[in-house]
Amino acid sequence: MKELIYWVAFNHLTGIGPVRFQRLLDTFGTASAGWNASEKDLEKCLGPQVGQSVVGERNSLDPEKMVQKYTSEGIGMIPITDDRYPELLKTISHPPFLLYQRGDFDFRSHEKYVAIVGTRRASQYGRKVVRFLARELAQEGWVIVSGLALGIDGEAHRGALEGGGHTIAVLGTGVEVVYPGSHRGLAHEIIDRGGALVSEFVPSCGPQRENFPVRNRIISGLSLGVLVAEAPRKSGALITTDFALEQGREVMAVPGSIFSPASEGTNQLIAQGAKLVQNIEDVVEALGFLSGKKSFTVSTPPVEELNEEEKELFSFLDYPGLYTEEFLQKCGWEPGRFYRVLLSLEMKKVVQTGPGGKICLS
Amino acid sequence: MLAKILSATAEGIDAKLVEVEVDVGAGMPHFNIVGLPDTAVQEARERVRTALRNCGFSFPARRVTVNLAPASLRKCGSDFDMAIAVGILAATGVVPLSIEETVMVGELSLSGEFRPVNGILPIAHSLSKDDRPYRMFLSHHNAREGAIVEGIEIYGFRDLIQLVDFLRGKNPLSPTTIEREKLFSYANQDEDFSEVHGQRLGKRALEIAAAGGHHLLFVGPPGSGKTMLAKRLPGILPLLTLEEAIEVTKIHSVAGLISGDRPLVTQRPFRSPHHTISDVALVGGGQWPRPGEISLSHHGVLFLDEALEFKRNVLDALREPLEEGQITISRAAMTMTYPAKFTLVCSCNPCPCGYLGDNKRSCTCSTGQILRYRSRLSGPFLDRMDLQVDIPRLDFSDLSSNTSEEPSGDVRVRVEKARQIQRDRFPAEGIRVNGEMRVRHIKRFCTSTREADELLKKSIEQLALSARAYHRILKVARTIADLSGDEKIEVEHVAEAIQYRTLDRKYMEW
Repeated sequence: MKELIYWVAFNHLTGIGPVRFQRLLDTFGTASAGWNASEKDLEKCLGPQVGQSVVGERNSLDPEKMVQKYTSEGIGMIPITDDRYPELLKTISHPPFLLYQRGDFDFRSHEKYVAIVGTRRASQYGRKVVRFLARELAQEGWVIVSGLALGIDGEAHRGALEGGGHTIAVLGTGVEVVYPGSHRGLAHEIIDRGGALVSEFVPSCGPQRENFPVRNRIISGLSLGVLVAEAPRKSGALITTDFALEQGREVMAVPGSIFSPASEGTNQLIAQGAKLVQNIEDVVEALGFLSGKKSFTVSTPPVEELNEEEKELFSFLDYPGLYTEEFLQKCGWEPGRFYRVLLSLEMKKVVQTGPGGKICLS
Repeated sequence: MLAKILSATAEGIDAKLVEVEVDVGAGMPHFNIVGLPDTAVQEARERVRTALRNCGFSFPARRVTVNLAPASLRKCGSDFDMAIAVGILAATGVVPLSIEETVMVGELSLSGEFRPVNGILPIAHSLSKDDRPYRMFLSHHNAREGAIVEGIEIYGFRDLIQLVDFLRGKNPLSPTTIEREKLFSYANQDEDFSEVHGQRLGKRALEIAAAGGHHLLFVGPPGSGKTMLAKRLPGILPLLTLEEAIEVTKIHSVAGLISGDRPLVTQRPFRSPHHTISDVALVGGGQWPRPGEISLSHHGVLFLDEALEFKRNVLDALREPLEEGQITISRAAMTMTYPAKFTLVCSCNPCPCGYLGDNKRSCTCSTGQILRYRSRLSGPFLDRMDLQVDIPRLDFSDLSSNTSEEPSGDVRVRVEKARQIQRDRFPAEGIRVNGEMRVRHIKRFCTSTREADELLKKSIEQLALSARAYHRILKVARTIADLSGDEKIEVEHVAEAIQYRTLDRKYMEW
């Protein structure tokens, strides 16, 4: 406990990352010894610049109070020496020496982790794909790791929750800060349902541009493999796959339309040898497990639950979706009846209305 | 000698009588106007002096004093030129002194011809309500506008000489008359529904907006036909009654928008201010408060194209008039109230680049950009838009090439029928249409079948519609039911109304 305080304290200092912290431990033996070391020794160990800034900053911090505060707020602090620290993450080069965690999730009680990442500006197709795959994987007992970003990330978490599984959100901010703000509700749900938010950054750390690519190495590091659901040519998701390859993780990608710019990155990954994923068996097998469940790529809506009218209207809808105007024109129904049946289809979650008033299969 | 001539000036859409007293007496030659005149009135001295001379009359080389009574009322503009000139002529014995119950309003040119002035209709209208049988002398440009009002004799004069001859009895002139019914010819409706191909949804939304007086928001990419649709709303609104037409014309008259050949506004106004408009130009203002765009669209349509480009304070200035149906403008000089009951139609793009959800082009905006863009429509403002409709870009040539489109007149018949139902419903409530219903009205008049009520509650929950959508949907459903002549709101009506809440839907995110 005493030692942990100084681990946390060092994490708050600028210029102290995994590499320099390791050097400190090597030089002084323990973090507390390093914390109380003389200016001269610190400069010798860390170089004059960082050494001086450490001396300057450490006086303004009260390590004990800080740890007390985090503990009372329910923020877990897991040093790399702790056995609660994720085993998989230890295997990467320069793992974070300290992880902050919100939520009760215990990394020791699970062994099947898969990361699902992708673009923030996902298409209807990408959303559908990722929600479906995440849900099915979660039902199979997989823990879904993602980054809580808008778009694919958010859908991956939601799909996992839908499937009744656990999901881990690796944040590019501190665990006290949820970014984007619109995912605050989702973050709470992840915690409430037994998952966790984890971060290597100081809990109050706000969103900073340079932190997001850095955390991507944790997303891949926590997982056996990385599945890219949808990514354009230049995407943060591709940074994650670079890390994954470096860390020796499996890289998988979902193919998309050749006309869709949102799928350019994923299609290219496949061209370069990433595992092509059409259903969860592809994922499970690529990661070296056997799937107990046969799943289908195309999830047909539960047509048997629809009544005659609903079935008829539904039959007019095809895959790319229709604007209400076209739909009305195509079926030729009288508007009152059309709206009534459309609404009931929507309530049965068979179709959904997207931006621009487009009605799609859901 | 002292002469007294009546004149009048418009104050807002009402009028005030002004007595012009002219005294020509002994003293140093001098011409003075008193009685709180502004610069334009002071300048009347030069116009009157020159006009008299150019018409062959001599300007008295004596002390001329003009008093505009009541002295406490501020006078502005050139309305009093005619009265001052005739007063001088009367005081010098050129025309008879006793000119009873005659109100003279007109501006003089240096040649002695009369020019038109603004606000004639409000003056004539308020004089006609007076017990005394007034007659009005006007510039012949203004005569037709004044003649619209019943119960007052209007004489239009070309120039000062014609007027003097008339007063001397040399030139008998009959009052200007106008055939009011003839003014109401609707044949020249410019934009007709039948010219729009397809767009059934947009048209239907317009019909509902017209029937229930609902405000409407079109969301769609550039070139999808939002403006084209909005322009056709006035054509399906019920015809203006004479009373409404006069009300509208009064406002337009004050703003100086009435021309001699079209003295009465007979078609519902359609105002479409550019998005750089200031709040004052929109709601009205100025030292002497003049009506703004919202009052000019009274009984008609105010269309804000690219509503999100308007400055925030401009949109927010709309909130009070949307609620009250009128706007009170207070300035140092005076406080004025103008009516402003209009149907608001707004259009906006779904995102900054305009192509979110489009089939042919993909959107290039980031999520943050889209959210920021949408947040420009403040909640309270959005709250007043009962109908929010997506207008996608579609190629209608292959969809509906052989179907004939319904003309505006046919739609208007349905709208008028629905309006009649509403008139019978709200006789004692002080509201005219469903769009004006408050919560207590909704509770009382929006009775729905049990199934419809259940559907509404369930769908609000399941489709993640915001809570404030509830009353909006009921209001619109009421109008849809009225259009189909049903007394109770049925399942179909609720289902359709829900389709018109596009911005209330929380899509998964985008």
